[in-house]
Amino acid sequence: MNIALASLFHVAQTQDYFRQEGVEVIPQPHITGVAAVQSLIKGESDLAISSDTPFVLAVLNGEKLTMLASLASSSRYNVIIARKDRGVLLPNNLKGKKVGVVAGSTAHFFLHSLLVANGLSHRDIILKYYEAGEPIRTALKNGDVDAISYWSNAVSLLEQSLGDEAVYFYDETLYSDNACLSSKPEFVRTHPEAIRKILRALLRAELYIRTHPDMVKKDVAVFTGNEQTVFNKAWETITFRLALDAALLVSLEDQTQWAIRHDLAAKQAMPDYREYMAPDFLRSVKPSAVRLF
Amino acid sequence: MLIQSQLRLFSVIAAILLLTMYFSLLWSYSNVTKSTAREQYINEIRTALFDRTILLDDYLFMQSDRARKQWLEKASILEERIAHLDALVSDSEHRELCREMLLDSKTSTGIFRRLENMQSNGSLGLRQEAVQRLMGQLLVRTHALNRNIDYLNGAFRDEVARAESIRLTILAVSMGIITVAMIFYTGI
Repeated sequence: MNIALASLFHVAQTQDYFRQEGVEVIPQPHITGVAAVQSLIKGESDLAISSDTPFVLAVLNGEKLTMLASLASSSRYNVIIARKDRGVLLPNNLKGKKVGVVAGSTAHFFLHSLLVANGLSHRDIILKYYEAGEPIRTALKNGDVDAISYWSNAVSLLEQSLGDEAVYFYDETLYSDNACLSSKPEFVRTHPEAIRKILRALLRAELYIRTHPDMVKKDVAVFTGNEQTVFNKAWETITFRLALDAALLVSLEDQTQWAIRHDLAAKQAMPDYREYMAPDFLRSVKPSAVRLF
Repeated sequence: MLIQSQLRLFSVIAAILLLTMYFSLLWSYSNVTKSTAREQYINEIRTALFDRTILLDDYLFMQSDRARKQWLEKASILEERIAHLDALVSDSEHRELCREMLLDSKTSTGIFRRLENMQSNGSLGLRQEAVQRLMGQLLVRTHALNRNIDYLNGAFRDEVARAESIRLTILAVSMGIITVAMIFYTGI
């Protein structure tokens, strides 16, 4: 996951914390969390950092995954970017418009949330699915769609091409995006010490970000290819903290209800997400971070 | 003559020691008082959060307008208390937690305002989905507030224990010095 929400991993790597803790980590960059989870499922990677939505959809599709910790959260990371010249000035102007989204991503969930909160349903728009990155951005630039639901780290790129023609809809009351570290049960069972070491390195990164915020902000902005001023806005809304808590459980269940309601997954029953978590590892590294009751 | 000047020297040393003990005790007492105040304050915040949670149930289950108004009043009290706590703490991590708590509290009020409007607007199916989504977010914020309150409560409890321990150490050291000084003076 190549975005600011995964900064703990980036810091742990650049500060050499993984090696110092005695574990070798080979990063496998993906443009989205959806792709990172797919890589984990296919066995191409041992661990994945993704937002909670891809994790929920994978579990609902019968995949056996284990969440080890949430690494960061932000309630201003998702945004609808729309074109004013297509008559979209307010969220309810999206009615009848073509909206692009990356299927199964947090942006997908955020779009649905924004629609229902503004008295619209997914049937009121024409939903079009795109790959993340250049394809979806080009679709908006070329006018193939009137709006896209995306992540705020792309705002700077789109501002350059659309200028004042773009309008942005954020909504902190609708969704808090959680970046999560997950793995497969077999890997967790067979590599307990490696997982503890990785969590220890990430905990050191959490402390480092707290004590060197400006340095990390600059570094991550360059790493993710963002303009500093725009990136600052996104950064201010992120909380970097290792956790496995009740807030995360509620968020996972909220997204599960959405996925079931909109037939986005095979399973139609609410899983007990505590069974998909391995809290003992995080508890051994940071006891106060685990609050699952 | 020698004894007289020695006694004068000892008196000056004793006065310095007594003043040092006095100010150390005063400093440690003030630390204990501050830490205890912070601990009591975070407990008041927890109570306000608990009251607000009950009032939400009251509002949603009983559709009571009185509960709606009380929820908003309680939310405002909660925000004021968190802002006041922010002014009481100096540790960067604690300040960051206060900032998060304030944000969660303000966002909760924003969610509640939307819930109020949802009670009358939109089609039933959409309204149910929107209410469920907003309720989920309100719960997320409440859990986050509760988690941060717990964390700060633990930190302040440790601070009180540390301040108490320092105060006891200063008292014990002071008593020891006084005892040694008295034995010494008696000897002279």
